[in-house]
Amino acid sequence: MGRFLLKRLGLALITLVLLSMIVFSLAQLLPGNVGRNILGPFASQQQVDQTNHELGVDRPIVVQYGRWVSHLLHGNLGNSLEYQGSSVAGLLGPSLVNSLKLAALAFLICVPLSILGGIAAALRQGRVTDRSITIGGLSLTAVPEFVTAIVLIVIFGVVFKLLPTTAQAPPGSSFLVQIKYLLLPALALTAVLFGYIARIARAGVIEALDADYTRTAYLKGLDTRTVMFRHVLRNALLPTIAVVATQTGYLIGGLVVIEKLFNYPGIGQRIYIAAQNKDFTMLESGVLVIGIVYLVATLVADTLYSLLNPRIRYGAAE
Amino acid sequence: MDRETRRQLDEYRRTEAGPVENNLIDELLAGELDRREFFRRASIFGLSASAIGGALAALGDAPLAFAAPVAHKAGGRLRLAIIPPPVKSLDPETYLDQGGLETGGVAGEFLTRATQSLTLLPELALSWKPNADASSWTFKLRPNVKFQNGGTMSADDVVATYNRLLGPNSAALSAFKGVLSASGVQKIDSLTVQFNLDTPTASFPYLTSSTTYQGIILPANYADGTFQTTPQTTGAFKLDSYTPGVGAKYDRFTGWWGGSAPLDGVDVTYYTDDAATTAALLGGSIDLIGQIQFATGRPLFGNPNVQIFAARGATHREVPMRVDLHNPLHDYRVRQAIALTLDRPAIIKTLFDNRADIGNDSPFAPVYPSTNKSVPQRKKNIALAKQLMKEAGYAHGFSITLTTEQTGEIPQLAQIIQRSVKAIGINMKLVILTSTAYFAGTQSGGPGGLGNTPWLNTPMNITDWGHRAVPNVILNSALETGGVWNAAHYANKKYDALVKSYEAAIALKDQQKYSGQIETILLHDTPVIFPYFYNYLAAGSTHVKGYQADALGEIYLSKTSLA
Amino acid sequence: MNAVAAAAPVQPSEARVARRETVAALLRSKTFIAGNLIVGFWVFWAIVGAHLTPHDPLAQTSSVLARPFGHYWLGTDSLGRDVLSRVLAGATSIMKIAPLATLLGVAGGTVVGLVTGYFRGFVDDALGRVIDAILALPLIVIAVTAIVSIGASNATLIVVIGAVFTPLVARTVRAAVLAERDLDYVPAARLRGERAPYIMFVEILPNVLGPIIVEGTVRLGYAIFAVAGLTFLGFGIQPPSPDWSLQIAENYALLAGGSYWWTVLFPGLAVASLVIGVNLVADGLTQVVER
Repeated sequence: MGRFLLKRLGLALITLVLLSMIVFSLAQLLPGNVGRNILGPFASQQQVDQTNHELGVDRPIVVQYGRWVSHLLHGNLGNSLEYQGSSVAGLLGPSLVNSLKLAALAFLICVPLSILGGIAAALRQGRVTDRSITIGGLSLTAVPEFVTAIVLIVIFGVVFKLLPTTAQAPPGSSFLVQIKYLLLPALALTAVLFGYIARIARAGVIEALDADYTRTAYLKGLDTRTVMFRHVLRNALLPTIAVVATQTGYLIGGLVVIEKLFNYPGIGQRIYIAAQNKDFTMLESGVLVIGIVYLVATLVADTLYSLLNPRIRYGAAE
Repeated sequence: MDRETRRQLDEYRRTEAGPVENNLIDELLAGELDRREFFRRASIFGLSASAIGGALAALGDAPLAFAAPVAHKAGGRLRLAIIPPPVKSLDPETYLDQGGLETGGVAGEFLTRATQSLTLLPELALSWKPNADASSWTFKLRPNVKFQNGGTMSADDVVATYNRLLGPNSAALSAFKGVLSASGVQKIDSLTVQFNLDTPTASFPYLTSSTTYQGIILPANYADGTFQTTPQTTGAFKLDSYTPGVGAKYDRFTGWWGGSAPLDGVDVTYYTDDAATTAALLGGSIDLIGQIQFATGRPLFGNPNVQIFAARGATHREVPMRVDLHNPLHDYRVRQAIALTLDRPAIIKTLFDNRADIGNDSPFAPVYPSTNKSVPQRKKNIALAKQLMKEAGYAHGFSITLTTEQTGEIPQLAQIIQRSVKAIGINMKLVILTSTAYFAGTQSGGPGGLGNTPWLNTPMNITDWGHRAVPNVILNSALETGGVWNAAHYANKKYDALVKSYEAAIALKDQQKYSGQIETILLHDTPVIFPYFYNYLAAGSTHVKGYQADALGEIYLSKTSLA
Repeated sequence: MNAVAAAAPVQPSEARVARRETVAALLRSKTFIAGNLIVGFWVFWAIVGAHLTPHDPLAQTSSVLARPFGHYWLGTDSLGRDVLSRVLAGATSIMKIAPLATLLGVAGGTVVGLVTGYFRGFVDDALGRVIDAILALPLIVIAVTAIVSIGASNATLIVVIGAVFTPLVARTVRAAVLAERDLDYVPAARLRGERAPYIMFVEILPNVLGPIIVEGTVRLGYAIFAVAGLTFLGFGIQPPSPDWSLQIAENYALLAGGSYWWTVLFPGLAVASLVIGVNLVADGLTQVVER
């Protein structure tokens, strides 16, 4: 188990290095002059050149990359080019926390709901319950997230005034109040993910119900409930965990549209604006941070997966 | 008029009034100015209230009555939505965008403040006076004005502020170019500043008003980058915290010279999306939206819980057509033809529900008194347009690309234009960029002299322009030969000379004489289409009292209260 | 020539029979048929476009924001254009971009998947890490960066979405190839002296086509989302195209208070129906192919 984790960790680190290189090159793709961006259109060319020299952007790319990495390793994420005087870490930190809160709530609502739905559908396979859950889930997933979000805002926020239309609670709000503000976007995300996760869970349960070991368990005399919990559920959870982990990347950094509609200062917005405004430092650090979160999530998922699936743990499949 | 008033007026005219003021009163007495216009110009020239009252009384007018102050409830924090967020720094001299000017404007103050009726009210300056030909202006400052970080305002601070405004990093250079340079700003004594202009300019005080939104008065030792870390303006609220892209917090400044503002403070949230602000206001999470667009804010109109604040002004869109490229737009007949395809009344009905004035392809908005209204309004005329195209040799039309930004109703205007020019055979392709991309790039150098930024270099585009109290900046920067924002690359010496004459003219009649000539030249050459001038709109809940929209978008909250 | 050659005459007819059975099974699947009906409806309108719509989708009138179920069946938008005509004509852009992007992604992913699945070892590990790294990047960021750098156009969209899909498809293809490579015919081909590219593309590829096709249809659904989302943010299809996401983006601010709902609801239903249709087709294929 330890060796397995170590191996996975090592691979993740390599991926991280590759990611940093990709991110850095991506940011270099952006057209525009860093110095000009900072000083604005009225500064003289001389001032622009001087700023570029001070920032080190006139050195070769490899040198710049090296400097960036060494800064990172010392925990220095640099200063935002867009919002002068503000450190990247100071702006990214709160945004990341916000995104994590929303993702957590969305997961908390969506995952149990989807698994229950998937199980219910699988147990009543082919009947009305199954049909409605599957088709209902599919329809919800098929609606683009911005449409779902807009509809939710209008119905619950404006027409019935049950929930706030923005997701950011005033500073110092209690835990419950924050949840109230995050409820609408979390529901929008649940609508997007429910169909997909429920379907995966359903497939897993069906496969498990048909499997030999289930039959064996029944034959051994175990009651339904034990069979369900010990064998079937575990099998349903396996693919679900994998799927949930892959969705983390989307939920942390890909929610630009949701954050825009709910005016929520998450990390998706930050990098989106950084990409538009050629804020290289923010963009690079932001994407790297999201990458790290994603890799951590997949690592955790892999670990859970191997814990639940002994075959992987002992390397039998390989 | 009683003898005492007459005596006071004569005394004023003899001793204090210079040629400029006397000329103004002459115009009033000769019937060349209506009462309202006199009041406005008098405020520009800094006439005292008693002089104004006296002059009007000479007409047999009733004495001026000032509205009684509205009773207000003190307390409460206003929740304000500012859209879009400020970009870059909060140093006032760099303000170029709506977010920046609004954020700074809640805390900062100017020498004078422009009102909705284009008059000027004293703010940090108590009075001002021109010399004989309006080439030098002397401003007397308000005493005992405290800065929020300690210290009292004096002429040194004003001179330092204006030196920064006239320096190389200033975004206000376009407004002051040719009018005032740093060497012209002089301290006379601790409460008097003199501005010696490069060119006589009758409307100079507007440049010291809130219309020049970079002109927030700051302490002489102000250091760049400290606006958001240390409150140091003179206004009724101090900026206590600022998170870029997220929000800001202001608290009441107890040392404000104007007393105590009704509100305890202002909590600003930055938005990037119009729909989110609409939903927030209707849902009750905010009290006031700094700016709304009719196109996206339709649901707010007619809602009983919402009040709409409107300011008629000169906010507009310009559609420049580059005159210097080797394409059909080079020929003035083609440009006229394009302008003739637009059904302007229908456009302002669709886009603004008539909350706008029709433009006549010049910077002279109907709201300006100096606009010459006898110049005929251009109307849609497809037959004439087709004929012009034929004369220019393009009877079969041609293809052209229109580039513009994703702001407000501009994409819709672009689609309307695209549809309209189809009638004369023009196949127009639209490229709609984000504002960031549209204004990106350099603005000087390069083959055309205006860098490579899309808004100054594409063959045809649409750009948003904010309100100005007088059209001078636009006449200069957008249309003069070599103007810094001359996207049409227009160069006409006759036009340049007329603009100089217009800006130096003091009497209203003279201004209108020159404006008429300018309007006629522009209608002929049509380097830029000005389709409309629309009302600036803001919206708030019915609890907000004592707030007026400013045509430029300045948010002035010193007299605002929550019912 | 040996056992394989002797077996050769038997295989083609077996394959043909298998294919016929698959097709028959597909035609029996209700989900497959339903999905194809929906997709077919939109393909028809994508081809026919504005020629058959009741009004010109680009024609602006003075009946701004007219309510539906009146003179204009689905109402008009803020420039007085008929919503029904725009909804019907709106399929064209997305039908051009999404399938091409998917094709690009599937082609790229197939190649990468074949290579990593067949060679394993260092190539697999190295490419695998690169794939993981790319997967960690949010689509929006890549797309915006690319579009800001290159400029917005249909081609940019296709390339960007295709590039982002490649690693995802590669993963699925790799898994399928892993299952195949240990079957008899692969080492047999190697013994015959066949080179690697031949083995990958001629021997293995036809046998993994099933999962690839299924993955492709699933990706198509995501491609539609990607185009819709990017267009909504202003980076995709340009006005005055009657593209559905563009319609939603232009009009959603009008929804507050429940007003003018028809300008957003109908294009929204159109997008949803297309995605559902594609998913039903994918479902039908999955059920049959993976039996």
